[in-house]
Amino acid sequence: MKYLNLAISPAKADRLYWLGRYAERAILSLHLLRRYCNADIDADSHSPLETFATLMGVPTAALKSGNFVADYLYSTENLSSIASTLAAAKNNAMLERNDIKTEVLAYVELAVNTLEAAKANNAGVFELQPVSDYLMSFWGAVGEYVRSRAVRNILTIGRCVERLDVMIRFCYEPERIASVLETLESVDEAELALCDNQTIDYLRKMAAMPEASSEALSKLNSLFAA
Amino acid sequence: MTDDSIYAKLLLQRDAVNKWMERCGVRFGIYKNGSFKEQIFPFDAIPRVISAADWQTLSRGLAQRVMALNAFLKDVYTKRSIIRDGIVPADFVFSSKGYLPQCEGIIPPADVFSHISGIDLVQADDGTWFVLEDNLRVPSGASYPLIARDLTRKVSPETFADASVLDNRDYASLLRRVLDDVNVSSGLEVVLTPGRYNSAFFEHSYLAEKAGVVLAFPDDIFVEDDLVYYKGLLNKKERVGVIYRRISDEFMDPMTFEKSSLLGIPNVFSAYRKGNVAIVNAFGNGVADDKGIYYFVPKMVKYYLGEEPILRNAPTYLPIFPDDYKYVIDNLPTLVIKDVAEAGGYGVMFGRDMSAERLDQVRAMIKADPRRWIAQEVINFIDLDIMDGDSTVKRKSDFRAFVLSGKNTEVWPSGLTRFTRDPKSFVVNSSQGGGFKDTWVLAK
Repeated sequence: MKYLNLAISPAKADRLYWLGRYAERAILSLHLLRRYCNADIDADSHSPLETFATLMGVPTAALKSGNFVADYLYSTENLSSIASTLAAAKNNAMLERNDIKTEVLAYVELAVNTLEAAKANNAGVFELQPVSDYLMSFWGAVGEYVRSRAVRNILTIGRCVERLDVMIRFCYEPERIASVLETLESVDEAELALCDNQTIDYLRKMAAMPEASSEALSKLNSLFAA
Repeated sequence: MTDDSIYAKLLLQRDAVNKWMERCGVRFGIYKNGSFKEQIFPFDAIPRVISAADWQTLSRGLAQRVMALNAFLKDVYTKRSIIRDGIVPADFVFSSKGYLPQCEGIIPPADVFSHISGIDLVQADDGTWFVLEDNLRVPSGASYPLIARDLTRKVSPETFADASVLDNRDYASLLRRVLDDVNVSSGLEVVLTPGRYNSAFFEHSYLAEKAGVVLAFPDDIFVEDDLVYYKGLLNKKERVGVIYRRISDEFMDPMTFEKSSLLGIPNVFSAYRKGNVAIVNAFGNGVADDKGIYYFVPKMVKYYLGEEPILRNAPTYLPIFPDDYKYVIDNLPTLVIKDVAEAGGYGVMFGRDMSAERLDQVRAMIKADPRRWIAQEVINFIDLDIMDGDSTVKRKSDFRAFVLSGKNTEVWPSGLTRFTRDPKSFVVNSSQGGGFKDTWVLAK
């Protein structure tokens, strides 16, 4: 192993991993929801929003009442909602302030505050670009401010795993999936070794066989929780 | 407030400051009706301003007081000469809940017991400063003026270009120096937090960030063969040299203190006793910041340092002494009564607010257990301006100064000014709804 920061406990690594996943999930969820809402404008017989909900694996009950988008954006009772996803990202980010720095945590705070203000104004998904912008800024700030390479690497592992999960669910082109794998493989071997030697194999399996995703994800999620 | 005040330009930007506070997650937690809530700590942009002359006296007095308190702690856990010489009654030491027999004979690294001391003061109408209490266990609050200054300088740099205010942004460096001074075996330096549901979690994480040390949760630390380790990945471990703990003594080690504690580190006290880790602040400091022992601090200054105390205590009575008991019983309606076992503004009763029936009940409580109570004259302390919308109102406030002790004792040129938002209240604690201000110390 080339490099290992010993002052990262398993619990800390787990929080960083999930911070990476939740932040990325919020970005991708907003992006895809915008895309499917846009398709919904021209839809006749099929329901793009139903497709979105099915692929994303989120509850579909609100589709019948026509309240799906507001529920998916803002409900704090719906654990799959953007609001819940951001709350989870914030919970992990707060606990890791000393490693990710206040400047980086601030972008998560801004995203949460912006979403809460949007909820108060009943804003639609197309008005939530600033939330996406803050989350993209979060990732930019991670590169700028986070001094520990190990911390950056674990965040990146979480980010890549989330991207892979969502991209596979939504049948992205193999080239795009391969590029995420490439990013993941560029992470220092020290942090990848934390996972175990089969990590990349699992990820490759996910890309090749979407039906294996569930087992692979379960394995990945337990990596840092040991 | 006048338009030509030295902070006038800052006030124009006060909304921007509060937005930055929100952005940076400057919060404190509070338990209300059984549930935990995090809220923004209300910040008032009008600073408390301390003149250079006042500060010169205050800083000398604060350093003197903390040096005497550190000498007292070393003495009561070793030679006990101050008791033998009749300066402090033995009963006051040994009946204090903060006195830990387990600490007898232990001298911490660099002879320092109270590394981070929070001394609460008020300024009376005539400008005299009085010490209200010493906090030598886990005093909190430095992070708030620290981040407030950082943000106010960001939104209104011209204010600080015009005003000659001592920079307070070196607090984390001072803290780091203290940790370095007492570190055992050049080990890892950690801030130990009980977790995010502690009211001061923001402070724990922010100070760890700014001091460049590790923020550790109880499960991250373990003891093996009387050495303390941080639990790393892949079953690796790293030796810990100093723990800046933000957990009370009683919860720090279930093997020595409160057995049901889930927040503590089993056997950490044993490692500390063997000198294998420094604990900041040391175990057992509660005996010196006991509200009853407070009465004796000016005597400690004379006894240990051979100097006249520079700072004054608020006029205090100990009902355990017959003369004081009589005075307290006779004058209860004009006094403030404090339960020595309480903190955070709890257990404080103002005689003037009590009914005749309640006064009688309190007299009975004092009679039944005089050691449990102290009484103080109510100091008519200065009201400070705080912003209320676009105008200002007067509110009660106090001031917590921070004194850091490693190889040297240094007084941080700033501090936490807390104010009550309730016009009728004297209780400024954040846990009871108060807000905070930055404290400016003028350079000239």
